[in-house]
Amino acid sequence: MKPSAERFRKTGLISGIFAIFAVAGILVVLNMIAARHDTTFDLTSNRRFTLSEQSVQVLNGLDDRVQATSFFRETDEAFEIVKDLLDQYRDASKAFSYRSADLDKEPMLGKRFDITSDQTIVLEYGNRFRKIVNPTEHDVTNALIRLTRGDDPKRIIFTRGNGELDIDSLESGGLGFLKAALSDMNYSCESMNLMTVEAVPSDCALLAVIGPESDPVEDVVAMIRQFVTDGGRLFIALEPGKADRFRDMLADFGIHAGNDVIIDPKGFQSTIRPIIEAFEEHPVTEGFDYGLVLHEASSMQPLDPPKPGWHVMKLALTSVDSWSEAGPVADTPVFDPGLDTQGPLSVITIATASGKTAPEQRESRVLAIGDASFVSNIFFQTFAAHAPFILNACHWLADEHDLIAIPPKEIVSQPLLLQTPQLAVGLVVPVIIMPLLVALFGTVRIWTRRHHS
Amino acid sequence: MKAFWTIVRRDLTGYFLSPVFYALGTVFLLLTGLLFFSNLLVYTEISFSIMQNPYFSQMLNLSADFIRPLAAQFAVIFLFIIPALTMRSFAEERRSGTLELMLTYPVSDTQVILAKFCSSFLTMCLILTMTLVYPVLLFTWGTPEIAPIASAYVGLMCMAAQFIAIGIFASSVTDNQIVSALVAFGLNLVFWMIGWASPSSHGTIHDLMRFLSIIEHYEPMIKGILKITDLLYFLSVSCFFLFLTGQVLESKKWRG
Repeated sequence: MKPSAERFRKTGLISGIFAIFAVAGILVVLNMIAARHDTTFDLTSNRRFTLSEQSVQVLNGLDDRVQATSFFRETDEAFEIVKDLLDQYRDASKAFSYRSADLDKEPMLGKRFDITSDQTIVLEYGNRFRKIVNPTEHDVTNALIRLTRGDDPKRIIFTRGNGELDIDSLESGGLGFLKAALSDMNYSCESMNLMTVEAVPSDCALLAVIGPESDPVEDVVAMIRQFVTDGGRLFIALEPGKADRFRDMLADFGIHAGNDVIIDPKGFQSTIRPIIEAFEEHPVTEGFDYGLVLHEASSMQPLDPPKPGWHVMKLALTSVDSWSEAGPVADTPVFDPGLDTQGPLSVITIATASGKTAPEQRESRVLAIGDASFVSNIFFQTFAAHAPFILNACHWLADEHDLIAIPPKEIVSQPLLLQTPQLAVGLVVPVIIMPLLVALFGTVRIWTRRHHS
Repeated sequence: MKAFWTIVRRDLTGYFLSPVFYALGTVFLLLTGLLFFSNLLVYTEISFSIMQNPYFSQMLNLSADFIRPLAAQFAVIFLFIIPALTMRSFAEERRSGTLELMLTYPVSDTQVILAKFCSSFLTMCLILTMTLVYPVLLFTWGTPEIAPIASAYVGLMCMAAQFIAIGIFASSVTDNQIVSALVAFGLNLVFWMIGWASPSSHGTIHDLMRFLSIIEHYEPMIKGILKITDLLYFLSVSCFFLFLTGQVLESKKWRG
């Protein structure tokens, strides 16, 4: 081979390699620049793959990296949902990254975070971490707030001893899901029989009385009354016709707990399940645009005349078609103008007053609901709007203003209830007609060409 | 530009007169049709079974639970179909000896490559257009969101463009069509699988694998999300492989 041809070949090879690297470099730089100034268009109707403004604000405020570890298996139904969610956080902030882990392959990682089952994510921030089971945007954002703030958990005491709902029960009538949700948000939840103590503990951020079956002793009522008057916070949910002493106690805070049952002709599957869609403006209902479903609820109306010193506000109202049935509820209830009260009626009411004896004059706050099952596991899980509403109420009561409730994005339900003829079309058109048309057209075309030639 | 369109027309005519196009079209429509029907059956079954529970019925959505998985399955068929479509681009010209002849025409290598790309892309778009019958059927039975469907089709076209560019490159390095198809399939698989390990990795390697993974860029599109970075990724990889094809053709001059 001639030396000049060899030189020509070498030059060609070197310049070719150089050109390839140069073009690759230019393309990489272009992509890096684009990544810094990326624009995303969420084309879904309710922008369900876009984080809420609150979440973006929290992410923008991160001053250190957050590492999320997802303990979900690919076979889990929620795997894709959680991946989509974490993708949104990662895309919204360079400080947020995530990885997937398999408990079987990385058991030490599970031990490090004390994780024994799947369907959990862990958020690490500095030397702190938080676990979230079955995470939603609401959970992740609030966990981030907690992590970055790094404060001690606030104490929530649930009363027991009078047949209240059990905070450790995962049965449909328990409060296990509420407890888990509150614990995920760094609240410390415990149950307490108030008959065993002299006073409600002073570090109790929120006292919850959920669904007592029987009357408490008068000392317990006095204890709670004193706690609230001293600037304490009370979350009380009562079933109609039960625990009259608690009902009477509410009158001291300016709330009239009706001994009635709300009937809603347009209720959810039953007239005794009113749908609540009217809310007054309040931090608890801020940005809340969803419906709540109650089951055998009683009214919680402001006392008439009002209780001096207390400011009472109707928070959630039944529909105009509803009424409160004063007597026993018939199979097909009918409105009796003489006995019953026409809606809209308040079923969730709040009362506030200036704390009298607390040194910092802490505001007394009471939130009363005329239904306890509203908070129970079955309703908490079945109706997606219940959790953010209840958690928002707890945040407001416990003075956790910066914790926020992000309602779940509503997914448009689009079931396809196709009958056999429609399914036949779905089989014949795509599987038979379309491929056959192309095959026939091709055969005719090629045959014609051959015939002509 | 006249020469460019002449080559495009010549290649398109070659496709439409070749049994390969009709065979590929038939197989592609048969497979996608079967996927459409099997997804339709499952979706209908789930629809009936969850109608009793209002909570679960709220979670059944055509975009999320029908179109997204279907578009993901279509992409798998692209892995096999597109190498078969592009395998003859340069390999056939090289085997029959017409490549040298074409390169003597008053037309640049870039024009030849772009014309080949354009004809293959138009052919693939034509095949893809025939699948529009599926969304049409969906619209007659229900009310799917149109934007995520459009976004999924943009994703499919982007993926087709990348696979075609890779296929043309593979076709330029060999005169054997089978080898060309296998090389293209292998390269496509690399871009497909490279992201599989990224969730368990960290740092720069993690970022690099995510960037190169075609799935990472395709998935948002079938969800209904269009990102400038994803579109740029498909454009970049396609351009890079077309550039590599140019370098292979160029190398003929100094390799002798």
